[in-house]
Amino acid sequence: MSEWTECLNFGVSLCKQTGDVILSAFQQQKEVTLKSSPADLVTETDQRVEKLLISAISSRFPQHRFIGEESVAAGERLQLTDSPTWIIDPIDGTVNFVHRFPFVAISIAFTVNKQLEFGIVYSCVDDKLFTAQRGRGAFLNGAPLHASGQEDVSRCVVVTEIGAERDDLALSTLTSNICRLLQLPVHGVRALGTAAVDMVQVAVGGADVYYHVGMHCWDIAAATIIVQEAGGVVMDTDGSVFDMMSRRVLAASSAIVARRIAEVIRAFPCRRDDEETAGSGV
Amino acid sequence: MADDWQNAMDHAVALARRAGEVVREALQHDRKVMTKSCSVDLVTQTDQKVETLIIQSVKEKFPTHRFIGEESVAAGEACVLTDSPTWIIDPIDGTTNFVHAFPFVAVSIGFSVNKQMQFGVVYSCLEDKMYTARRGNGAFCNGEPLQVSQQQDVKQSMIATEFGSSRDPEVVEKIFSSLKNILCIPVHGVRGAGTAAVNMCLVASGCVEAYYEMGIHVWDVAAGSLIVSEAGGVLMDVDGGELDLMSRRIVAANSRAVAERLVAEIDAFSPPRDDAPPLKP
Repeated sequence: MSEWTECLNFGVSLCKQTGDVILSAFQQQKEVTLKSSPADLVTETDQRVEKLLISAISSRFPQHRFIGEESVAAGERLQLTDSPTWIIDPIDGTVNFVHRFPFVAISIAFTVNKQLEFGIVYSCVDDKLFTAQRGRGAFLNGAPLHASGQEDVSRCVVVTEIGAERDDLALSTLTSNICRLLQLPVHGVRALGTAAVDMVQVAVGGADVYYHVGMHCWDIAAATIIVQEAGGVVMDTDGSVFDMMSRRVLAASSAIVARRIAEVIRAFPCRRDDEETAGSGV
Repeated sequence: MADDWQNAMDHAVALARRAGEVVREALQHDRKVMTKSCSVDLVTQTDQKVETLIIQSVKEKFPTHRFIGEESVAAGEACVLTDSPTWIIDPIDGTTNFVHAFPFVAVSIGFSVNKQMQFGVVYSCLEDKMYTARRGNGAFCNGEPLQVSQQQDVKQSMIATEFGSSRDPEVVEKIFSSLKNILCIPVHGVRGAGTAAVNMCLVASGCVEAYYEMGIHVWDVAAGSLIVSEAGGVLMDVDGGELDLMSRRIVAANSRAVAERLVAEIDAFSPPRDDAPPLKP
């Protein structure tokens, strides 16, 4: 639908502008606040960028709705409806941003009738713009992307994250997952520190698997459609159908590899993103 | 004498850049993969081609110099560090990344005299980042000076490490218990780009506070070790003792405080040394 292309193009130009805001803050000292754990960080730049994006989009598309990481953290209700909805992570990789580790991305996904119509992941430090629109393929800086198609799990590179949880159950589950994967064996395990940039490596073909337990919908919504449009598959970590609000994702070069990985990895319980909470919460 | 090493260093930088071109070009074509010590320890013709290119060129210019090269050692050459001027070469650090076109692949060239590193060059060729250090003259990336992070609080630190290519269950167990201990300090996060040389340059750049690994080889870390120390960082063994480049263990950090805190959490093991006599076939 041409009207969604207009939204996509608007989203892309916003990403480029706000990318500049992020880059100029990148080299500075940052004031850091903790959210759910000592490793779950937020800065004033996260909040500022999200406000910039939402205000620009609402001016242009006043009927559209939003799910934004920092808005939700501030108490906004998180609910995906049939309305055209922008799902925004203003800085994916905030810990990286604080440390100047050079992987920091703006992630913007757009749904209508709860279906992903397009996704944008802009990796600002290396100026890489990943985009996909439903039915129209996936692109990196305009060049088409194709997942690797790898069907042999023993030749796979897996990207994943430990994330911000520091409790025993989460850490044991996450580390034992990696341990079991290494023993399959797989070629290797990588972690760049941002779910969005990690996951688009599957679309690029440089990695064959990305999985994550504990991230949020805004981290992976855009990358989901980018991987799918590049020919990859996206599902739940247990092999069932992908549920954007479940806080679990498994993306892979092929269904065969995805299912093999799903046999090995376990999840720990996470409160769903769309679960009602008493008072404001994460 | 000092001039000789500067000439050697300039030559190393030029060679690293040329090798980087060979790597980038090879990435466009099919990357035929072989295995070494196990099914996940990969090598390609490009690794071998790049190492030969570097060694031949150095031999022409510096005929008395010696070499420790990853692929030469794999082919049976001795891995012994003497007092002689010695080039320590990893033609492609991050071969698994190279095979997959995962974007971190580095050429690593270190140079030692009297067993002391005189210069180090790490060229991260897909990012076009040339990291260099000359003993006593600082560390640089594409000409910009490097300095380690000033963060001394390990609870605000980010750590780089890798899982390595060993699949021996006892080794894997220690790698994971070390990782969990460190996560529980807690630290801000753990990262892994897939190449030891690049991880060390990230310490020198201030992007991570420390890198540690058990199971690397001398050629993975020789160049990076000087880049870290010239950027103001510290080096030690995973047991807190002095770094031994042949021990296959390393901690590189922005400060003694962070390094020692990590050492306290690492569940160390001792891989067979790089300078151990080869096992009889």
